[in-house]
Order: sequence, then C-alpha cells, then structure tokens
Amino acid sequence: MLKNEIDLFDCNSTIGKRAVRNPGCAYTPKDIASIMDYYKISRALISHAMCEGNGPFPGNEILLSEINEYDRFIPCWVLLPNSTGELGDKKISDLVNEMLERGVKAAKIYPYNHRLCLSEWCMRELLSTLEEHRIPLLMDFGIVHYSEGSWKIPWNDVYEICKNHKNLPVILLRIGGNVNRNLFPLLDKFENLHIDISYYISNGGLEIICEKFGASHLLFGTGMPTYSPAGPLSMLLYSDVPLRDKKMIGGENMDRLLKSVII
Amino acid sequence: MSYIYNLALNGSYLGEHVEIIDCHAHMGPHGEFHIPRNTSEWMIKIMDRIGVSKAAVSHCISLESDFKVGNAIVYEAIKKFPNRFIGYAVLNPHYPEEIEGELERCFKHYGMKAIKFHQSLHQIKYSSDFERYKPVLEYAESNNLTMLCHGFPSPKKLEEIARGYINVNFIIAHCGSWNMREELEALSAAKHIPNVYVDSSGSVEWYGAFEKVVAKVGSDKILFGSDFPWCNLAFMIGRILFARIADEDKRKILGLNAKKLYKI
Repeated sequence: MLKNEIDLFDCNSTIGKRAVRNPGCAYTPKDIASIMDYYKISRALISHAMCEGNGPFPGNEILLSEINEYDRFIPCWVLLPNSTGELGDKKISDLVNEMLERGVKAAKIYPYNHRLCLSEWCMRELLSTLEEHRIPLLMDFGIVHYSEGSWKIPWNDVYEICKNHKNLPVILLRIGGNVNRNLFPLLDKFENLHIDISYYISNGGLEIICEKFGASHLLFGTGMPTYSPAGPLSMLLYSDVPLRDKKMIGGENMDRLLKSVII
Repeated sequence: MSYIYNLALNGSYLGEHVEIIDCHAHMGPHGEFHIPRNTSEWMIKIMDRIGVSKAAVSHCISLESDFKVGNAIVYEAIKKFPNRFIGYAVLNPHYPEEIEGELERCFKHYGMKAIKFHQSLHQIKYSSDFERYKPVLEYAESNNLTMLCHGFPSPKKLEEIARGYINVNFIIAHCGSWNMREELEALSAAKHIPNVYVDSSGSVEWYGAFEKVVAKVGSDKILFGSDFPWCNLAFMIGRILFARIADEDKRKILGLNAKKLYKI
C-alpha cells in the first residue's frame, strides 16, 4: 500500500570488487540489481568500488561500461582535486564537461580514505566547477561504526564548503547517529546540505529533521552491497512523517538534484 | 514471499500479526551524543507505531553514572505503562556495598525481571575483575534470572560462567553487527551452551550477515534487540523483518523466545 507509492532511489551504492569481501557479498551489476528487486528499489546512483580503492581511474571508465545495459543504474564518478595530475592532463572544467556529456551528473569524494583536506586551498577549483554546474557532490567519510562520525567528518570544513559554495548540493553519506549536535546547526544554516539515511540511526532523528529543517535535506541511501538496505528502508517506511516527506526522501529529492544539474 | 516481509514492505502496523518484544532497549539521555525522544512516553509512542508490545529497558543513567537513580526511573516507567516495559536491574560492581540492597529493591519492590551488565561502560573485565560480579550472579542463579551482557569474555570464560550458573540465561548482545569474517565466539557459545543466547542488536548491518547468524545459531537462541533509543527502533528491526528466513523463525526471534526467557 504505502510502499507502492514511494519510488525508491538509492543514492549510496557501488559495484565492483573490493580487496576485502564479506562472504556472499554481491559486486556485479546483475547481483546488485537482484538485491534491489528484493527491496523494491527502482534505481541506484552508483559508483565503482575500484575508485575508492585506487582513485578515480580506471574505475570511472569501468563503471560506465559495466552499467551500460542497466537503465536503473545512474552513474556517479569519483573525483579528486587535480593538483597531482591523477585525473589526467585535462583541466577540471574540461573533465567535468566531459563527464556531463557522457551522462554522469553526480560526483563523489572520499575525504577520509583518499586523505583529502577539504579546505579551499586544496579543493576550491573542483568545488567551484561542480557548483557552477550544480552537480551533487557526495562525500563518503569511510564510516563503519557510528562512533566514528564525530571525528571522521571534518565539521568545520563542511561548514565552510556549504557557506562558500551555496549552489553546490552537498550530500554526506553514512554519517551515523551520534552527529546531531554538529549536524543540526549546519542543517539550520544551509539549504544545500543533505544527508543520506543509510546509517542515520538517530532515534527520531529523521522525524526531527523533517519537522525542523525540511525533508528536502534527506535522501534514501543504503550503502549496498557492503551494507544492507533493510535498516534504512524499514526506518523510512515506519517513520512518523507525512507520506509527502517519505516520497521526497525515498527518491524525489535525488531526482530533483539531478534534474537541477546545468549541462 | 514471507508474510512478515510483505507487512514490512507496506510499513504496516505489526502488532496484530506478530508479537514483538525488544530484549535490548534503554531509556534516557547520553552524555556523548544526542539521543532524541528518549523518555518513556516517547518510547511507547514509537513502539506503538511499529507494533512492539514490550521493551526490556535499562536506563542510560544507570550505565553512565548513578545506577540506583536510573533503576528508579525505570521503575516509574513500569508503573506508568503497565505491561509495556520489562525492567533490567543495572548493578555497578564498583559499588559493592550497595549491590545487595539494590538487588532487593529492584526485584522485590520494583518488579524487575532481569539484570543488565555493561562491562564496557563500567570498565569491568571478566578476566581479572570477575569476582566483582559474583554476588550478582549468585543472586541471579538463586532466582532463575536472565542477564543481558553488553559483551562477552573469552569463549572459555563464557562457558565456565554459563555452566557454573545453569539457572541463569545469558543474552550476549550486539551479535547483529557480526561481520561474517571474524570468528564471533558468542555465536558458537549460543549454539552449544543451553543457557546462552544472543541478541540481534548492533548498529552495523553488513549485507547478508543476519541470515548467517540465524544459520549458525538457530532461531531458538536469538532474541530481537534494538538498543533503542540509543539507536533507531525501526532501523534495527528491519534486519529481521526483511531477512530471507522463514516467518516461523522471525516469530521466534521477534518475541516468542523473549517470552520464554522473561517468563511472561
């Protein structure tokens, strides 16, 4: 009944092999699509696990070839600032234009696992270019257990990015449930700040964010295939918020962000 | 497809279809981070939304500062919401002079049904400090009580304790976060020792892990635990509702096993 009215769009999933594999953990597009079927997830914004392990290339290229036959997978490229030349000889602006031409409308960074400083002196060119096109920027801080959310997320840097790049949609992934004291003041200040609910296990946190700051800040995400969609899906379905908000969180917000990208 | 899976997929109220007892809940505020909606009133509201009939609770104040104050607040909640909360008496071995009196108060006056150990927050090691738990264990043994333990000692020590106190049912918490790669001794202990159980709590939900816990331990030895409101109740119950296991197993885990242990 309720479920059928929510079009689920997972903003946080990957394909591809990782160095460490949990027993039975899926990694092919086909197997991940099968998990999505079980949980009734229509679409997934997806990046390649190789990019987390080895940097953007060749993982970004492999991603496009592997999901080519699947309309339900929406590609997301992993990026870095290019001071080292790891993205090739192209300028960031040219790379982002190429990315858009090839249908990639979202970007992801791994500040913790890629040892990236998020300050302007390191990130300005990349952030400004993404902002120019309003490309959603997902940030994965490598949080496994919720207790890491308070120290792996550089809250001051998140504040500065949201303040200096107001047209950049910022999405914090898998932030854990012990972050409200730092998260709420940021949500209060910045409309461009979002979180995915894949691991936002705060009791009543989803409801409070909807009430105080608006459901537009929340996106359905799973962390699949490493983590299970069961928790975030159950939390969304049983949350004490209007159906309108559930639909926004479930998929409409991610759709809106992607539709707002300026080609 | 599982009946319970379909109910969950529709976000349906579960209370009319399956009895749900949460064996691992808390109450109250926490110093390290914000726990919203942590009062008994809020907890009942949230339980009612999903269809959880009872929650076995220990108070965060008991775990993090004054165990007697927290126990008294749980008692007030039990009085205010009859048959909805099962009280865990929290005993802090750092105050040995107060243990006997608090045990009497909790079980004779407050009507609590079980004991909660939190050797991590109380910083008590089973290996070197075990003697300090003995008065509580002996009380539990004499009264056939259930004990929820945050963690567990070495397999050898766990077996020694469990076989030494055969009238106590031990629930080892947080096995829901098992990552499937490292050996989790609590699982084999629960499988082989009659009075050892595990609960499903644990915030990290590795894909496919819960089904493997069930396969390893058997559904007769697993209890649903959420850690709510420390964690989100709806999030934590999801791993059972959506698990690729039989409904019969889900019913045992969600409530039937807890009914036996708490004798309700």
